[in-house]
Amino acid sequence: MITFIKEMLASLQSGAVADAAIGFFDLSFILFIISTICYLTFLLRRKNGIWLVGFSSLCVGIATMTTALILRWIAAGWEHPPWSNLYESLVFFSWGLIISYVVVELRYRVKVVGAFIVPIVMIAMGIASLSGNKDITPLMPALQSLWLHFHVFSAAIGYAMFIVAFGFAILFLFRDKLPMPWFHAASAAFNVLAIIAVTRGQVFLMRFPLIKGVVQGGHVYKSRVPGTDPVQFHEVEIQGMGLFMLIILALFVVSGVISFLAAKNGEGKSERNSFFAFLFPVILFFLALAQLSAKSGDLPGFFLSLNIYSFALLAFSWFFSVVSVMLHVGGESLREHLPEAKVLDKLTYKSIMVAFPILFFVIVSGAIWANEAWGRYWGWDPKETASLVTWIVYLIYLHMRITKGWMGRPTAYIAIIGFASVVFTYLGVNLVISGLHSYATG
Amino acid sequence: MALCAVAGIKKRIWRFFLAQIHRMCYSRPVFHLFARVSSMTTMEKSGSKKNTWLDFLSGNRLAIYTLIALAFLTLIGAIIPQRGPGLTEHQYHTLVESGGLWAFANRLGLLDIFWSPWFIGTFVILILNMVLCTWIRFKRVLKSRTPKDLVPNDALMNTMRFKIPFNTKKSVEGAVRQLIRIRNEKSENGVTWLYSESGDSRRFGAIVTHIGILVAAVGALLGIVLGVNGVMMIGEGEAEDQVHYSVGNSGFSLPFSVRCDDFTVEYYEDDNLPKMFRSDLTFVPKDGSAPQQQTVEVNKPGKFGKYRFFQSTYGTFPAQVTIKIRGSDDNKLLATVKATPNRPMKLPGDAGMFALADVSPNQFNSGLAVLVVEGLENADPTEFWIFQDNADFDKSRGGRFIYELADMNQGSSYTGLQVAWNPGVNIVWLGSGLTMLGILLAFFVRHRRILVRIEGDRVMIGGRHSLGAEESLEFVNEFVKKLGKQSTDR
Repeated sequence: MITFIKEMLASLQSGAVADAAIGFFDLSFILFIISTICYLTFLLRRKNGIWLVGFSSLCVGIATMTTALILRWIAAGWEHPPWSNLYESLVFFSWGLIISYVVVELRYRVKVVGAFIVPIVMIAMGIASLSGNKDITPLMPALQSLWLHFHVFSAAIGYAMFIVAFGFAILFLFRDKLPMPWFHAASAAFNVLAIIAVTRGQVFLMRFPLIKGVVQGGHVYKSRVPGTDPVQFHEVEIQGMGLFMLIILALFVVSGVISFLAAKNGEGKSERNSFFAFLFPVILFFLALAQLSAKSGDLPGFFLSLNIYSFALLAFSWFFSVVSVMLHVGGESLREHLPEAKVLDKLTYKSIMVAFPILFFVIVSGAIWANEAWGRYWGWDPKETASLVTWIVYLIYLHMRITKGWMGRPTAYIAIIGFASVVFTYLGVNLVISGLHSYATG
Repeated sequence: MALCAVAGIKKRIWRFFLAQIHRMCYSRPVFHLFARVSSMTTMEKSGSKKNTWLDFLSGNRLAIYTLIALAFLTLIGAIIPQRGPGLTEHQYHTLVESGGLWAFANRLGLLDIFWSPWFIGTFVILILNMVLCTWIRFKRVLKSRTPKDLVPNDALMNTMRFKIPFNTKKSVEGAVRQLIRIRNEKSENGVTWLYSESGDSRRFGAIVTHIGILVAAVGALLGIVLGVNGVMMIGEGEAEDQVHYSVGNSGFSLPFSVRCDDFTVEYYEDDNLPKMFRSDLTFVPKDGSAPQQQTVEVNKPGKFGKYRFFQSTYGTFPAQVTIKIRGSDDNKLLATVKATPNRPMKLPGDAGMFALADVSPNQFNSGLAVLVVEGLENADPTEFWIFQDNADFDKSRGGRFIYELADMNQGSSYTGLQVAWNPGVNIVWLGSGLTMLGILLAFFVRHRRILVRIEGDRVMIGGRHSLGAEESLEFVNEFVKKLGKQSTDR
């Protein structure tokens, strides 16, 4: 029987298996979109039916994704596990995140937290489908090591648990009655930063960086850091949107200020004002994004051509906006549905408790590997340094938690900063700063 | 006497300095933003001033402040390219000499942040804090009692986080003994006390973690002070004993020479991607003992003596051209120069400079030729071709010197090896292992205690779980449930 299967697999061309794998990935991506919609709606209407659809599509998604990963492994001839370039690493990370989340949900029965995890899975899969090279690439010499398996596998699980902790931390702040305007102010600030960063400061010109090779007639822009290798950005300019985008940016700034003042003053009415001041530009922003894809002309779809880090920034600003709106609309009834703040705080702590030693193992295994490959266990490579920053941030979390008076909200803020640090370590370093880990840029 | 006075002033300055930090950390509103509960409580508790200082220096707050500072400094190191990992020596010097913002950043130490006083200072404070904290915790653990020393009584019951009293007709004592391992017991005046404790090794978690980090830091320091790390480039078929440091221009020589017998790159069949880089090396000791052959690949380092050799890069040396220079008056050989293209060389008798501007394998269909640029003193530079197959060709030019292209060897390929000796590396691994062990002890060993008081029909069960109140409650409830099932009728 086993030999038969082996023969059958051998008879299949590895190309066909790889294509099947990508088909399964796309299927799971669709399932995760459904699940995201369900979990976000569940914030507003806590009907078990909605949750069930979301959760079951999540479970089916795990099955299809596992199949896809195994198929890909087969297609690579069992030579290397499916986590050796950016595409594979993102897909594998999404898989780890989903598994960790399902385990946590089944164990602790906090369904709402899915609204903070599943969209991130969707974003990760989206970035994966944008990353240029989906082919199975042979392993370059530096990656041919047993440590690759342990290092990347544990990184996926560790990062996943940090993100689960982030979800709990946000819910904790919400349950702890942190004034909603703070959420609006934070999202508005993030949106402002994202708009400025994606257009690289030239909001009015509406120039967007694209994946290499999408546009022939686009501009080529080089990095201006002297003494470093020039990085080429290919970009597209979208006409006639500049003023609209500038207005949205200004509205977000105004909303941020109003929310900040409202948060300082507290009380009902100013809270509502800050919500509407925030909602208005959010809606305009979504309209603008839709308009952008309509106006992008000969591009094969605006978002599908964006450079990965711009996509990630826009996706995260979408995520934060939707979540802050949903939390506000969910309001008091959602708050009462949640477990007590103390329990949510404990769950944040427990997730970090799992992730922290794993991150330490990731760093140490990386050091052992580097010592075998390059003759030094630590070289202040940007990736190594960023992972150290993440580790220190969670060290701060752990020390604050046992310090009187710093438990609760301050620790939750640190868990959120830790999330930003994880995203920076995982994506930011690969995409923006080049270094020894740059083979993972795909 | 004078020395005493100096010491006194120093002490006073030092005290003033410490007092300022103390005031900053305890009374500035900026820090109160974070610290809602004033840390005055710790000051009041410990009475004398000396103790307060120790509390602060060994305390959590100082750890958190230094960690925050360290996180910021490390973040800078991740974002701004650093001398060494991010910038080559050449790039670094170009940037610094370009002036402006980069020069300013360099002055602040931002281009080499991990060796800047900011980073090292913060790290030293953190280490100091960790040593003190660990020492205090260690003393506390030594003083604390083992389960055998604990006296099961009401006072101990009061330390339990959660207590359930109930009445029962059943015989509980036997069931308790079956369910848990009793570490200590007492029976007096008709009251039976049973005490059980598990996972008390959790108390060592933080200590072991901190000791692990300290050990790793010692290992790292040892590596930095004693260890060496450099690169050597060895042409195929050649031997070399010089190692160059990757930062700075100096290097050192090995007590043996390394010969590169062969360098191979293998490619994957269908793609043109490299699959393997391999150097076949022979180590030849200078004291005349037997040479040794080894193969070095990426991820498979070689080792000779105490040094380890890593396959790090490869490349091709520039071509070398042998030029014979004669005087035009008497046709006497003045010099034989080995020149690499595009590098200016001196002419004999300080007459000026010359360089090879171009190499052509078949110039004007007349075979191998090089383009010479000659710059004599007080004259405009001239350029002209010389040919290998026609040695007398340059005579007809009628210049002061006659150039003759004698020989040219194509650049040979070389292997780039990283050479390292790090005596601290095993200590770093030991420290990392201890840290891991400590983290696991602190996080996953659950320190659970149960105290049972039985007085006739009245039973009181108290329990404590290291994770917190909810877990203590769950733990005691679970225990009582199990007890109900196990208890037998009297």
